[in-house]
Amino acid sequence: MSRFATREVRERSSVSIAVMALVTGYAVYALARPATRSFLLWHVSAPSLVLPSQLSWLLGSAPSFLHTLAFAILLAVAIGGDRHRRFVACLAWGAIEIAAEFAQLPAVGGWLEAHAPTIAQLSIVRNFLAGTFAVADAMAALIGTTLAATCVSIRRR
Amino acid sequence: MKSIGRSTLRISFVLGVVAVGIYSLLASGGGGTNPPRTWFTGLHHSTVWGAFAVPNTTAPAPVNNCQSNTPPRIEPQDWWNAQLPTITDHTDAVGTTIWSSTDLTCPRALQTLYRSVLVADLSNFYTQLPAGTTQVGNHISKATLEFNVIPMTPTNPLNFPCDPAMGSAGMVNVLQRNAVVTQGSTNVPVGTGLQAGLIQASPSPGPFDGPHVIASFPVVGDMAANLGLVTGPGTFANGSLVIVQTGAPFVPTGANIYDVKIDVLKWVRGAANLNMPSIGFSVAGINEATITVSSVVQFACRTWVEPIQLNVEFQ
Repeated sequence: MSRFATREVRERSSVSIAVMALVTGYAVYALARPATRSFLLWHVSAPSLVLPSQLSWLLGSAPSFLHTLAFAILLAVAIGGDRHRRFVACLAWGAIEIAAEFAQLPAVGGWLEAHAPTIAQLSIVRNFLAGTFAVADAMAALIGTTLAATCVSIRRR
Repeated sequence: MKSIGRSTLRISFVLGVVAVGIYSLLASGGGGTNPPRTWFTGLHHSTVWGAFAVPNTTAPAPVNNCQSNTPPRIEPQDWWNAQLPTITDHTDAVGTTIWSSTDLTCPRALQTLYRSVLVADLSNFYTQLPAGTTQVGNHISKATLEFNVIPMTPTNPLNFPCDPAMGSAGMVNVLQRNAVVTQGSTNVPVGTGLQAGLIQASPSPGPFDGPHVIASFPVVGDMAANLGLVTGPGTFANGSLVIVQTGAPFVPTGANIYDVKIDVLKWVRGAANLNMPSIGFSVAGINEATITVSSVVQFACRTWVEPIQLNVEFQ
């Protein structure tokens, strides 16, 4: 197999992983979250769904992990180049995700409200700030970044 | 040329991925918004139950100028008019003067210990959400008022004890916020910034201490649950009312505890959106067929409804 063909296969499998992660993350929102997110095209109400606390915790941070994994891989594939470039792309996306998580600290919302009320009133920003900072989500993003970086850096022989 | 086209395509691809990624990150509330979290606050009994005032309507004009913080006249009939038709005035209530001018010709307020009120402090709930969050109540998906009931006698289906002065089976109401007090012939609307369920005799914004908070007005429209319709442990009203017997198997003369959970999502969500610092629920009977009022009974009534907590699930 040529070097180009090997790379294409690798990119296809990476993109497949990213797509699966996105679909899974979407399913979490559609099945286990309230139908309050604007991007949801369909939603299944499951009021009787009672999860053990451990599973609930995992499910809560799963979207952070899946979103980070998917977009870190997609960004790495889009940027392309050698392993180093793809690795850096993953780290860059991971930094964005973790920064976004920290931006949900109440102090940030308050600062934005005080200094940039126009931006704070945008519906997408309000929606974003309605989320709550959680160490578990930041950790999930970190794990997603690590996994994505590993995935796009593996050398196939 | 082919290289330039490929570079343009790649840059477009990168920008597209970044744009979609950031949009979905924002729209999803940070990629991984938290799962529903439970916040609960303990309930406490309030001693501000139902109340009425002694308006001194038959007294002559005040000899002296009444103090500026003299409570306004409140017509007792107005208070009774706000109650269920089956609840009527009676003379054996235990009253306590909570405000009186040194000039006894001035209006005096008399508070009547009448029904049990459970009050939940909502103020520290807001700190759970990011600053600037609008429509706080929309983040609440579930709110359950929970308390224990210890029966007094086996003479009613559920043995709901409170308020023995008003009968046996109980009603659970949400204390109304925008009530009206009467000052002479003038209705004085209560300020919208007031605490939930409290009727203030002094002008807004307070203070909300005993001498100034005169009455609480539960009305039919604020009924959260009619425990009088319940004939025993079970799930009622499509799950909005759950009663579980938690004590020993029921014996007519023995101790027995019911765990009562009432869906109060509607009221708590409304209170949260109005930034109320507290919300109150009254627990009372629906009739007063067998009234034997004494201070001892009233005290015991408070002990029979054990406050537990208000559970709120939110995101």
